[in-house]
Order: sequence, then C-alpha cells, then structure tokens
Amino acid sequence: MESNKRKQLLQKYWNGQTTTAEETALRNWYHQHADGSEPELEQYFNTLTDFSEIVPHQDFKIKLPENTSVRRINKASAFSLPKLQYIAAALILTIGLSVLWQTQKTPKPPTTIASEEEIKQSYNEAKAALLLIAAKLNKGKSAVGELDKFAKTTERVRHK
Amino acid sequence: MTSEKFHTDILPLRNKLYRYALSIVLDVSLAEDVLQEVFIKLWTKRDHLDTVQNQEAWCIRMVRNQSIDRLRQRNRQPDMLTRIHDQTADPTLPGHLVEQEDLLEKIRETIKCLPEQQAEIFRLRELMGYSNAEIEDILQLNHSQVKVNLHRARKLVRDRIKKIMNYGVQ
Repeated sequence: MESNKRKQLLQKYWNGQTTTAEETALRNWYHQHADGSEPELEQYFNTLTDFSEIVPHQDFKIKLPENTSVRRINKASAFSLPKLQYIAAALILTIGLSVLWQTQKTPKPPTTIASEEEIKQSYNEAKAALLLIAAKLNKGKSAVGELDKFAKTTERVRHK
Repeated sequence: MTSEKFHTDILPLRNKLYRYALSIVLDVSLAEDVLQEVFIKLWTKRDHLDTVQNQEAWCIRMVRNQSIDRLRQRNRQPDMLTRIHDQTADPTLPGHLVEQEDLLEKIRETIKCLPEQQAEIFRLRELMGYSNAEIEDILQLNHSQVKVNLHRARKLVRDRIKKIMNYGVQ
C-alpha cells in the first residue's frame, strides 16, 4: 500500500468512514509492516488484530445439561392470578351493566291520581288558609299610619 | 429448535461470543463463566430461538447482559473474589494466558478513555468486526447514532495515541 493511500485511509478510518474491508486492509498492512516506524499505530492495529483471533482455551468445553427439558409455558400458569382478576372484573362489569339495563327497561308504575273528592278537599283547605292570612293582613295598618304622623312631626321639629 | 439445529447453528458462535464476553469483562476465567452460563440459558430456551429473527444478535445481547451482571457481582464482592483468586492463582501462568493478559491490558488501556456507548460500539466494530448495520441490529440504535459514536470513539482513541506519541503520556 502506498504511503499516501495509507494516510488517506488512516484519515478516513479516524473519521469513522472506512468500510470493514478497508479496515482489514489497514490492519493487515500494519501487521505485515511492523518495522517500528510508527510504534503506537502498529501496536494499536496489531492489538485489534490479535484480539480478533482469540479463541477459548482448548481445555475449556461448554457443558450443556443432558436432560434439561425445554422451558415451555406451563398451561396451568396460563390461568394465573392476574388473569383471573381480569376475568372477575369483566364479569362484574357485565353483570352490573345488564342489571342497569334491566332496571331502565322495566316501565315505571303509573302515578296514582288523587280522587276528585280529595282534590276538592285540598282546594278548600288551601282557600281557607289564604282567607285567614288575608283577614289578618290589614291588622296594624292604623299603627303604621300613626308612625307616619310621628315621622312628619319629628321632621318638622328638626327643620325648626 | 431441535438439539441438532442447536449444535449446528448456535454452538459454532462460541468463539465469537467468548471474544465478546472477554472484551467486556477483560478476564479469561470470568469470560468462560459467562459463556457457560449463556449457553445453558440458550439451551433451556432453545424452543424460543426459532422465533428469533436474528439469532446471532440475540446471543450477543445475552452475552452483554450476562457480562454486565457478572461485573456488577464482582464489584459488589471484590474482597471475596480476590481471596478466591489468590487461593487458586497459579504462580506460573501458562504462556498463552500471559500473552492474553498482556493483550487484555492493552485493550483495557484503549477502551478506558471511552464513554460506555462509544466503548460498546468500539468493541463490536473493532474487536468483533461487525458492520455498522449489524451493530444497529445488536444495540438497537439507528444508523446515525452508530456512525457518530464510532467516529467519536475513534477520535478519542486517536487523541490518546497522539498524546502517547508526542509526550509519552499514557
């Protein structure tokens, strides 16, 4: 790789604009040309290269349990407590609504009208009460007239 | 998913998943534990795997979550784990482990300057070799989020390398 091209590629790399293929080319170049002229960059790219080749140690084996059953959703747990709560709430709501519907639907019993005699009796009672009030209404009117005289006299005295 | 399909489709991902776990926990034995636990989970949930659209991305996410859990556990009980480590530590580490420890130290040094999301994208792109589209799928981010974070991560890494080159500051 030419020096200029490598510098351009490096610039592109630091700006985060390189493709994975260009990055591999850069790594390979630094891996093959580690002559100590750019020790920090060589170390940086070689560290990345070396890490990408790491594998678990050969003694390390993944142990998978032999008789492990696959975790499935337990059918019994499908009716768990929260689900039952939802069902109960839905039932209560349905019953409540239907009761409300029924009560609104049933016709109200017709209001009983009083008999003519009762109406007459009520009318007479009301009339008697009103007459009683009217009879007592003028009581004390003369006293009010006296008050008027007193007020006029007081006014006259004040003006004198 | 049948047992045979699990062995042909999922088990071959072990090296990739191990590498990814290692890139997060940066500890060989912890990465092996994570891998073992993830494979047991995958095995017990293998019926569900058929319904997963991108199985590799799903496995990667599982490794990520498990690794983070294990790191949290370790941070909660540092003394106990140090004691166990001291008791079991072999003074003469095998050669390959010494090499890996050096490598992990370099990775740790590179990643430590990055914020979490940038570090995550950096790991997937630089250490795992995933394309931006694959990273979008794994991390469930959009195209520009991945692009911007990768750019910022590389910029921070470059600044750090420049500092080392100019002043020898780590």
